[in-house]
This record gives sequence, C-alpha cells and structure tokens, in this order.
Amino acid sequence: MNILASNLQGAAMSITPMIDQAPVLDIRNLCIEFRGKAETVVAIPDLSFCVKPGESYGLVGESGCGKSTTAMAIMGYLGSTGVIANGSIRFNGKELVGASARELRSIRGRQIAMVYQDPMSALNPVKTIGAQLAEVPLLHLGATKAEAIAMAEAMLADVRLPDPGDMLKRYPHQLSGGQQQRVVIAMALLAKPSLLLLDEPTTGLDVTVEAAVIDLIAELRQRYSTSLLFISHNLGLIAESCDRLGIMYSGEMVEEGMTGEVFRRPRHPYTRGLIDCIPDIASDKRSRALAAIPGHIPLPSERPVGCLFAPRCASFSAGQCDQPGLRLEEADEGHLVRCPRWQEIPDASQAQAPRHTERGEPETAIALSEVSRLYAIGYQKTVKANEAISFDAARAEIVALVGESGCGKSTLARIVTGLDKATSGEIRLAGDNIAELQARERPRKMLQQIQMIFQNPDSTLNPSHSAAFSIRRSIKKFGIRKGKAEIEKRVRELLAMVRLSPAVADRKPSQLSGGQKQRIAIARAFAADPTLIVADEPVSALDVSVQAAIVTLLLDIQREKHATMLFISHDLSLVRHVADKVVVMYLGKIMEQGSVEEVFGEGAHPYTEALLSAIRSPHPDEAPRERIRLSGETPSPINVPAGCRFATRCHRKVGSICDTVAPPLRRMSETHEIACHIEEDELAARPSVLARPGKA
Amino acid sequence: MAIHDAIAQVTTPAKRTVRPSWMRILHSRTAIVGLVLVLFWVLAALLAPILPLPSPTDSDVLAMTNPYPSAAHWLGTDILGRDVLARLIFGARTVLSVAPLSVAVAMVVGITIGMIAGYYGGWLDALISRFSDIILAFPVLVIYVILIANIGPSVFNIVIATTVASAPGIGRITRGLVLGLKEQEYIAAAKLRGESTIYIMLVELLPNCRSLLIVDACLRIGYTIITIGILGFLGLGLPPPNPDWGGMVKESVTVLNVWPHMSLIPSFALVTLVLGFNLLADGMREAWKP
Amino acid sequence: MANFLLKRLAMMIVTMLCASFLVFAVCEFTPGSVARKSLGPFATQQQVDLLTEKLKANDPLPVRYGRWLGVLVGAIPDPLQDPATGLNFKDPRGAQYFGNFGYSTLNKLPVNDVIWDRLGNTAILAGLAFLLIVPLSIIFGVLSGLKEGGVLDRTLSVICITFTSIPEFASGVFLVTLFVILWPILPGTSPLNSDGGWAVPYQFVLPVAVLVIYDFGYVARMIRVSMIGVMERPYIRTAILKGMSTRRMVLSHALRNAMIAPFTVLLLQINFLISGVVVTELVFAYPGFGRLILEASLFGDMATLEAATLITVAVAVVTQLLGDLGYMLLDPRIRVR
Repeated sequence: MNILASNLQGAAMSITPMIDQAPVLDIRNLCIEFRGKAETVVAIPDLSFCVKPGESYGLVGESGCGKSTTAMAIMGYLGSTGVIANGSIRFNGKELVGASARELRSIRGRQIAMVYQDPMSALNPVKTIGAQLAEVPLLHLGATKAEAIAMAEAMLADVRLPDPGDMLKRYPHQLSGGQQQRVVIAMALLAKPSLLLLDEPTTGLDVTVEAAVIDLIAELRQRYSTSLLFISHNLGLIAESCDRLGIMYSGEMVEEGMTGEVFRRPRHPYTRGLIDCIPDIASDKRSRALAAIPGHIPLPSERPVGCLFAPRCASFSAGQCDQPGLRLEEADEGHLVRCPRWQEIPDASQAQAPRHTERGEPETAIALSEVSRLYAIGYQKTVKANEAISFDAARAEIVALVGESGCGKSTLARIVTGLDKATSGEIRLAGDNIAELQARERPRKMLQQIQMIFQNPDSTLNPSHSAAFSIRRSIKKFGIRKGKAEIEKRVRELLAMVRLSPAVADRKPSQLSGGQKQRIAIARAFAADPTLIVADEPVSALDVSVQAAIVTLLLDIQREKHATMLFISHDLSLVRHVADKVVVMYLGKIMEQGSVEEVFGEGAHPYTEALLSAIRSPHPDEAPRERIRLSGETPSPINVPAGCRFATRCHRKVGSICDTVAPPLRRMSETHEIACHIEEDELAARPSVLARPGKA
Repeated sequence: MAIHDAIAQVTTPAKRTVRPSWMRILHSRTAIVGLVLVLFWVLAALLAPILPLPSPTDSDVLAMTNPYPSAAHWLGTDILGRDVLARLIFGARTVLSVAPLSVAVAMVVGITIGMIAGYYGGWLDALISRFSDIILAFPVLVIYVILIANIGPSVFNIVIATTVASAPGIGRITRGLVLGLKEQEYIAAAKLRGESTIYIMLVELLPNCRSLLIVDACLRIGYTIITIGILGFLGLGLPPPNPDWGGMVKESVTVLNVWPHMSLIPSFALVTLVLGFNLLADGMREAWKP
Repeated sequence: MANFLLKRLAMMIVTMLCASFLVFAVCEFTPGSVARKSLGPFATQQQVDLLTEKLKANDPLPVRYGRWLGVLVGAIPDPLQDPATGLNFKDPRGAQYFGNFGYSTLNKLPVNDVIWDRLGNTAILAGLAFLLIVPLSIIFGVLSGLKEGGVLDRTLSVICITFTSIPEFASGVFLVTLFVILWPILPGTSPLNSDGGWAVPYQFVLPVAVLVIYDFGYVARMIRVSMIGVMERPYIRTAILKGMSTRRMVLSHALRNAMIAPFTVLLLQINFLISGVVVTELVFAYPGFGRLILEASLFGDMATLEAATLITVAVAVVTQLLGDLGYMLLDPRIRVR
C-alpha cells in the first residue's frame, strides 16, 4: 500500500521554532536595473525581505513582478545588462553585492543552490546524470572521483529515484519530467547548502508528479535543515509549502506575512484580487463568478507615482494612494502590507453575481462511441493513444476532459476537430460519423460546426500577419459575411464580444499580451458560429488574474450562443468551476465519467481520488483531508498494462485481477460511471478526499 | 465595479512599436558597410555606359609596352592593351546580372521542393531528400565544371548550373523550417478553416521563413559571384566580348611576375563585391534575430 | 547497429549508381565522340565511323551505361582495348578485371594509371589543409561564440567573413605576388618535383595556405553559431550556478554540445578539399585530382570523368556516414538502439 496520509498544511511544515536568529538571507533596499543601449529599465526599485534559518519563504507574483530577477540577483547572475544599482544582499552576514567572482563561485552550488523551472533543459543532454551530479562534490568538497560518484549515488537514493546505480549512467532524455526534477534537486542539495532557491520547480509537471516532488522537497528540507526561497505564481502551492510569503507586484513587495495569516486575512487589494481569481472546490459557475482584476500590470516605464496597484484598485482614493514613498506597514504581528488604506478596506470580498443557472439542454450535440486511436511505430509496436472512448455531450453543455500528460485527451481533441483520424469507433455529430473524417475531407458546413481554441497564445496566431487576419479569413471562408465592409464590421463585433478594442485588429501578435492573443483566438473560434467548441487548455499559459477574466469571458459567450464545449484541462479547481460533466482519462482510457458534482463528490475512482487529493488551494480550510501519493510512473503508452491501466500505481488495488482483467463499468447512477474492479457499494461508501466536497 | 467593465479593462497598451524590417538593418554597422560596397558596384554597373571610360574591348597598342596605370588608363591595361578600369566596371554588369538571376531561380525551385518535402513528409520527403543528397554529395564546383564543360557556357546554362547546385541546399533549409513551423497552432487553425494546402504553404508558412531565406539568398549571391569568377578563371566563363573578372585574372596570371596589377586588380574587385554581400547578409541576420 | 550499417551501405551503393548515371547522361551533351577522341583530330570521318560501329557507341544510353558498369566490375573486357579496334590501347593489368575504369582517351593510358596518383597528391594537400583548418576554425569559432557581440567576437568575425570572400585564385594571386615576386621565399608553382630548384615541402606552403584561408572562415562561422546557441541554453546557467569557472564550464559543458552540429560540416570539408580544389591546383600547377576532373570534362574523356565521379561520390558518401556515426557518438539522444 502506498498511501502517505499526512496532514501537511502551511505552518505545520516548519520544523524548528523560529527563534530570532540572524536571517540566512537579508535583502535590504535592493534596486535592480537593466541598462540596455537605448534605455535603462528599473526592474526592481526597492525590495526588502529576509529569510530566517530553517524557514520556507514564498515569493509570489505574476509575470513581470521581478521574482525570478531577485533570485538571479542573489546568485549574482544578472547577465551583461543587469546591474544591482543599490541595496544590499546579505547571506549569513556576508555581503553578496559587489562580491568578487571567486567568492561568488565558492558560494554558488555550495551554500546557495538553485532548482529550476524546466528540468529537461537545465540538465546537459550529452553528459550522464552521474557526471553532472559528481561535479558538485568535485568542485566544492574536494572529493576524489570515486567519492564524488558514491555521494551522487547516495543522493539519488535520497531523492527516491529507483535503482540509483543504473541511474548514474543514464542521460537526461531517458528520464521522465518528474525524475529529472528529482535529479536537479539532488544536484542542488549535494553540498548541503544553507539556502535553496526554487524557481517555479513544478510548473510543467503533472499534478500527481508535482505533489510527489513537493513532498520530497519538504522531507529533504527537514533532513538537511535548509532554508527555502520558493518562487512561484501558484498561490495554492505556496499556501501549502511555505511558512511565510511575500506578494510581489511590478517589482515591489505589497504584502508579507505568515502564510496562513495572509490567506485568511488578506489586507492588500491585489492579494485579495488574486485570491478571488482562483476557483475553489466548493463552488462552481452557478454559485460564483470568478473575479477579474481590471487593468494590467504596469511596465517599468509606466509605473505610477505612489501605489503601483492604484490604477486597478477599486479602493483607490486620490490624495492617499498616489503619494510617493508608501511604506510597508505592520497590519498584524509579522504581517506587513503596503497600502495606505488597509484599515479602511472592508474584510469581506465582494460577492460576485453568478449568471449561469441553466443546465445543458436534453438534445445530444455530439456522441463518441468506442473511439480508438492506435499508432504503429517500429516493429510491431503500437502506441495506444486512445482506446474505446465513449461519452456524449448534450447541447450547450460543457464537458471537461481531465487527465495528466499521456492520457490521450489532446489526441481525442484532435480527432474530434479532424486534425487527426480515429482508427476505429464513431463520433456522431448531427447524424454524421466524423471519427475517420479528417479536416480536409470535411465539407464546409461540417468544419464550421466544430472549432478549436488552442493552448499556447504565442503560437496560436501567425506572427507574420495582423492579429485579426485569421478572423477575417474565417469569416470569408465560411461565407458568414461578404464584402470587405461587412467583414470588417463583423470583426469589430467579434472583438467587442471578447472585450478588445478595435485598434487591436491591426497590430502584430508580438505587440499583444498573452491574454489578448487568447481573446483573439476565442473570437476566431466563434467567428464561424460553431455549435461545438473544443478548448484545449485554453488558459494554462496565462497569468492567474488573466485566467479568471478569460474563463469568465468564455463561459459568457458559450452560454449566450448555446454552444457545446469540450474543455480540456489538468487544473481540477478550474474544471470544478467550469464543467457540467467530467470525463477522467488515464493512459488512453476513461476511468470515470459523470456530472461534475458526482465526480467531485463521494464515491470516486481511485485515480480521481489521487487527482483530487493533489489539489492545492490558497483558500483556507479547503485543503483536501487526505493526501494520496501515487507510487511509480505512468507507464508508456507503448506498453500498456493488461487489465486495468491504473493497476500499477493504484492504492486501492483489489488484487491480481486488476492486472489481468479489464475493469467492468460500474454504474453509480444514471449519469455516473466508474471503470473499476471495486464493487459499487464499496466505491460509494468511501468518503470524498475533499474537505468540503461539492454538493451532491 | 461590475464584472463587465472589469473584463473590458483587462487590456494592455501596445508594446513598443515594431519598426519595419528594412529599417532595422540600418542599425547594424556590418550591414551598412556591406550595403555600401554592394551599392557601389551596382551603381558602377548601372552607370557604366555613360561613364567617361575608354572602351573595354578596344586594344590600345601603345599601352601594351607600358601597361601600368597612367592618365589615360587609370588602372592600367591588360596584356592586350585593354583598359582595366573599363573592363572592371563592365565586368560588374555581367556578374551583377547573372548572379542574382541564377540565385532567384534557384530559390524558387529550392523553396518549392523544400516546402513539399517538409509539409507532406512521407515518401515524397524521402524521395526529394534522397535526390538532394545525391546532388549534395558532389562538391559544388565539380557540378559546375561537369555541367558547363558539357553544355557550354552561357547565361542560361549558368542559371541551370546554379539551380542544380544550390536548390538542394535551399530545399534543405526550407524543409527544416517547415518541419518546425507546421506544428504551430495557427497552422492547425488554418486547417480547421478548410484552407487549401497551397494557401497554407504560401500564406501561412512562407512569410515566416522569409528572413532566413533572404539572408541565405544574399550569401548565395556572394558565392555565385565567386563561382562565376572561378568559371572564368578556368576558361569556362562567358564567351567574349563580355569582360569577365575571372577571365581577366586567367589571362594575366601568366605575366604575374612582371605585371601583377593585371591579376590583382580584378581579384580585389571580386573580393570587395563578395565581401559586400557577405557583410550585408551578416548584418541582416543580426538585425532580424527574433 | 549492424542493421543500420547495412542499410547505409546499400544506400551508398544506390547513391553512387545514381550519381554516375547522371554524369553519364550529362556527358551526352559533349560534342565529339569516343571514337573521335581516341583516333585524334587527324583521322578521317570514315575511320571514326568505323570505330564507332566497332565500339557500339551508338547504342542507347542505358545499354552503354550498363556496359560501362560491366567493365567496371570485371564482367566484360573493355571494348577499347580489344585489339580488333586497332587502337593499340594496352593495359598491363589485362582487359578484364575488377576495378577496370577503362581507358583514358585524353592521356592515352589506362585510367587506373592516371587517377590514383593524382588522387594521392590531392589527398596530401587535403590532409595538410585539414590539419590546419580543424584547430583554427574551432579556436576562432569557440572564442567568438563565447561572448556574442563582444570585442573578440567582432574582430574574429570580421576576419572570418573577409576570408570567406576571398576565392582561391584571388588569394593565390595575392600570395604569389607577395611571397614569390616581391619577396621570393617560396616557389610559385608546385609540380611536386625538385626540378625548379625548390624542395618539395616548400611547394606545399602556398597551396595549403590558399585552401586554409578560404575554408576555415566558413567552418569557424558555423561553429560560432552553434556555440552561441549553446551558450544560451539553460544548462550552461546550471553549470555556472553550481560554482564553475567560465573556463571549466566551456571545456566540460559547452564545447561538446557546440561541436555536435559543426562536426558534420567539418567532415564535409574533406569532400571539398578532395574534389573541389581545382583552382588551387591550376594556380600552382599542382598535379592533383581536381585538375584531372577539369581536364577530363573539357576534353570529354568519359572514362576518366566517370571514374573521378565515382570516387568523388564515394568520398562524399563515406564522409556523410562518418559524420552521422560521429553525430551519434557525440549526441546520446540520437543513438540507434
């Protein structure tokens, strides 16, 4: 059995009582500038915070707030144009600003180490794991080659990588993302540094893998008594991993304090706005609409005088908020906030009026039946991307496809839209079977009915054309309007629908932000007046506050047009908020499907349980009661396990029947199905892992 | 604040304006030097007929005994008494008309096969790549020598030789670009609109290959100029009376120990022109880095 | 692995066959026929026609190609050496043996007597040049790529770009003027014998210099681009933030990655150095392989040209294979399992 049931929450992660020792890291009045040929950009005007020994400090913010720049400044690696113009960074009492190259070299990797965002590219592809790990003791600990290898092997065991001896000889590309990150962590901790910098260490990892990595970090932190500086944009992650945190906005610290305290009683309007943007497990689109923070993060050249957040703040008051020299004030013990009006702002967050009340209409819009996609590669090897997928979506219903990487949800999306072709099975749309019809074979009318919103805003628009180019093409190709003037008019209407000003139409994509590009993608998808929209992770690449705005926009448009939506995501809180129906996939097969309340409620598939238990939320008291940690790795789609695909990692495995026989479909209710060997009553009896499960 | 207005305001002003590509080149010193060199020769070639030069084909018998630079012949004369400066400038006309033309044709052919190979993949790609490999197995010069020696030197044949020699390389570059670009989401979006393959290739893919291909074309023009010079030097150059820089060197290399200027000057001219194109290409590459 | 090599070998043979067939086809356009070339310009048309008949030189192209191939592998005796033609072409090795490239109408000798010497000469030249090009281009490329846009980069880049703009005849002419005429410390021609009073080793200096000047700049630029790409990669940052000095990081992390792509390019230079150096050989009267190709092309000496083509393509294909193998060795991501 592999349940690690532990109640790890926020403050409970600290191990030693926080005696008032001298801080490990003490940053005061840090000012960082980037001096280019044409202009100087002040990335960080004045930053101060400290990390105490043994504590885990989170630095939170959206893109452009300067958190990564701060980490690089600590390491003294700002690039040729970056300069620390002012301020001091003291590490264990020693001043790092202006340190000589040799001093920096002796500290890097030895006393301060770093864990990076994308572990695949952080490792050298042509050197073995062992060689890269061994460099640390060779450089810093004066070890011999043999000793260094031995230490590396021991460390690999510490980070719970299987078969460390063999792992030493492997190359990075032979490891999975989670394994690579463990190697990076091992490399960082080899010299037992006093401070570990983690820059978005789990972004890009699957949810369950992320959970395991975070656990590992917590465990190792205890073991080696390392202080952590944890940089992330993921509030939920920070809420559960850090003792204290600091919220950064456009290069400035706007709020700081103990994690639990800050999330229970956020004082700064930005912090509140951020928290309100995040969907929570207890509510969905019918009970709450996600808040959005109006305006945008100011570029360094646009910073207003006084409070940087003022242009976007609902509580702005002239005379108070635009005065220069606002400082961090102490709101409660250890809880600092940079807001002149913090005492006057009411505690309760504004209630947002929900607007969705209807459910999907009874008529079926699209029905998938036994859809399979198999690829043959090499000698008699088949990749089973999808197998026997069956579900339907009613008109105006939002069906969410949930799963981690390799589960086949993207492949399925491509089959539905016609970018790929099913090997077998049926997909019925308005009577026609489109499963094996590719886009170029589909008649115009059919193409018009299914449109797609893609994941990556940077590649969704052609960089050589204007932003509205593809919208115009869409209108023209589908004959929605004829004539230049009519088309332009329609383009304007569509842009207004996604709340963009018409001036955006003729800009190049490189001049637009991620959120704007994604809005254009939405406008383009709806330009064809489709009946079915496939949205493949439409907001994963965006900032938190922008995500909320785009999701709300998408829901509004979908509701207005009565469009059916296939919503693919790995973010379960978002799915809880958005979906009417949920389909959980793993390794190409459906594990569970049902209405959103059923799937998030009691009686769930073991895999769903594990997914739900990995949810991290900044909303206090919302963390799952129980943490399920899955062992092992997702098997390769070439060698799918016989029997139940999840059997190799399942924490509720019945017995050997799970390995040999494919699981039957258990009908939990008219709409709720689970593929599992466990009996219905046993499944239903198990309480939900969520603290406050969705209403049944 | 109502949600509607809130969402409406989640916008960003335009990021710094994007200057048109051509203007960005002017910020690169390398590009400017290259451009100056190229323009110098282009102007010389264009103005050749109206410049006060002696005829490039007339022999000045008197000068044959003293071919050094003089008032009558600013750069001296060659072994047949013809004015070197005039031959230089008229030679520029030949080179500057043939080289870009050849490269242009090669580009069209190369881009087409590269697009087809990259976009369709499969057996078409395998076939084209195999064929390209065979041609690329020959050193470029050998291709030129074998072709020109057999089919004879003429502008048309040089265009053919350049196309045969360069198209596979261009095709390979284009193919590489297309392989990467065709997975972009905007291509998928175009497919979902029912756009034809030709449209996708020409309107969606090609503009994004533009900068790399233009830089490559510039480099290839430089290389073709060298090749034309070499062909002239080998005796495979364009038949007279077109003065041919390579041919000029060939004729005077026999008297190198007595009158080196006859060989050095056309060599030097060639080097400056090619250098101009190479610097221009390098400057463009710098300016257009994404 | 064995599978892979076998497949490549098969591909190599196919490539060589296709290439030689293409050259055969192109040579169709040469004015003049084998018979005419063999008999010389003074023979009567009647004699030429008779010989043409005897040699069956009017058969369709594929048949003639097949015949040539047959002679090559030793299945058929060379028709040109048939005493019935009355040409008195004699090959000491016999008329039918494996590797019979035929008879050179230009040199009035069996091709095998002509071609291998020349190839050997060029190989020496190529070898010397290659020995210099490799270290020079690596040094220039790595140093400029280390810090893109830096002073060192700018200087080295200008040198490289300038040198790639100087074709062989230009640098040849220039160097000869400098070191032979104005300041006579080197010989102006390299016929590879000591008749002119210069010891053979001296005769290599200028030709090698010309080749190196033209070629190393190009390779250095390739290495520079690769190096710049590598220096931007995150694993370089990882290495530095582990506490490595720049020198150590370059040697143990950057270099190997940077050399992966240029490795093939370097090997391709061998190609060029073997077959493409006709200009240098002409300038210095060097009895080499490139000149052989030129002369054979101009004269229409089919047998020699075909033989030279085959060798050229063989060299090219072998270097491609070596390049691919080296690539696999350097980059573990593409190893064939």
